[in-house]
Amino acid sequence: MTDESREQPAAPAEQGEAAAVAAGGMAAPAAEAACSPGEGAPRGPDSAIGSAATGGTPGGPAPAPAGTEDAAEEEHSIYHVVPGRVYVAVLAALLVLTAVTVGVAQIDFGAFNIVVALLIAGTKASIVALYFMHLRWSNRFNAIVFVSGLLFLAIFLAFTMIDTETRSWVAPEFDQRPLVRQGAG
Amino acid sequence: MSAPVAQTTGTAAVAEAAAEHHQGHHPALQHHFENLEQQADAATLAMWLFLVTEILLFGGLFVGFAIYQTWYPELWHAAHKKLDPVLGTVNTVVLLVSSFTVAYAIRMAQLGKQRATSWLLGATIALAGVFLVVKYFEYSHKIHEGLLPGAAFSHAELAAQFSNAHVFFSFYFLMTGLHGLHVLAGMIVLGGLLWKNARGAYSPEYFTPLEMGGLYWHLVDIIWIFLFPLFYLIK
Repeated sequence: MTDESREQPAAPAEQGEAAAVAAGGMAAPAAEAACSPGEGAPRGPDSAIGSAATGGTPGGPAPAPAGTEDAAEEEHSIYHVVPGRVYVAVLAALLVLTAVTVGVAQIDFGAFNIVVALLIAGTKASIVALYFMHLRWSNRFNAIVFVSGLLFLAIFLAFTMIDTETRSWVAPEFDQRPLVRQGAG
Repeated sequence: MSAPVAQTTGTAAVAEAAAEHHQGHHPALQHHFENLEQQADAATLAMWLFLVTEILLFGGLFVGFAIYQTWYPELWHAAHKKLDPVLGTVNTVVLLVSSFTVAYAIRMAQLGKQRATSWLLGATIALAGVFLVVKYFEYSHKIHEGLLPGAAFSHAELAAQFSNAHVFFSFYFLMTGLHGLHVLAGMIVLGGLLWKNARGAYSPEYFTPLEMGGLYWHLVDIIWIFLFPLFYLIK
């Protein structure tokens, strides 16, 4: 393979990246920016990791790393290795939240029971998505796709409930539910 | 590239050219990708798009559940007491631990520890099996009591109180059943990954299928994280 043939397919890839960035309105992740072609440097996963570790762009979208975390924290690819203690801590948090949701369900908050239960479930799901599913270290576009899905589900739920819960406001006869009402026993 | 060679020469020359070409890169790299990292990025994006379709598939059922729960709160309260919260909690813990084991299996693959990856994948499949066994006992109990969807419903106590108690169990069997099918599919996917991992298919340079299988398994876990409180805990 000549240098020319290596460079050629890189150009559309870079355009694709630019389009994705423009669509998402996000700055390019540090790893992508650092490994963009044009310098004639050898390319591959290894070189991308190396340059991401040393050449992270300042002001990039990476979450502010805690003091103990090293520069590899800013790397945005599936090659990012999450420390084992992080996974252990995540599992512990999920188990504690499970115990909390079971415990809280024993207390009667009336209509707020479902709100509390869904808030805890949402927290657990977010932890799974961010750490086990690596969204925290993944390309931001994946998070945009995921959150868009949730957004459309929210629209689906909200507009359906606006219909089903307000029919009697329009006319009482619309309050007829499709099933026979509960009998008195 | 080998394309011009392929057009003009015989199969032997093509094979030779291909063999020469493949020496230049990782065997898992598809030719339409620039490098393994770009290939993994594309696979990850596609996987997330698929997961969104899964969310919308279950989302329709969750919306239906929300409508009927707000329409018939007394029924929902009475019917949910027929589910066993202890078994529900056990299954929640089982799935959370299985998410941990699959995440750690991928970590071990990243570090090149092939045997550890195999053991952790095996543990994940075993935990999925435990989940389905618990579900089997729950289902048997419901079927025995006549807590079934539609016309099959024959639970005397609930039928005396409510004329539509079967609706709760339609949702219960449909949603947990669809989730159970996903667990079964996950076991098959993880089994395939275990088989290929044992044959040395994955390495720190290439483990994309493991990561994709993991993403799918975590989504199955996330869906259960919502099913569990809605069915077993809500009063």
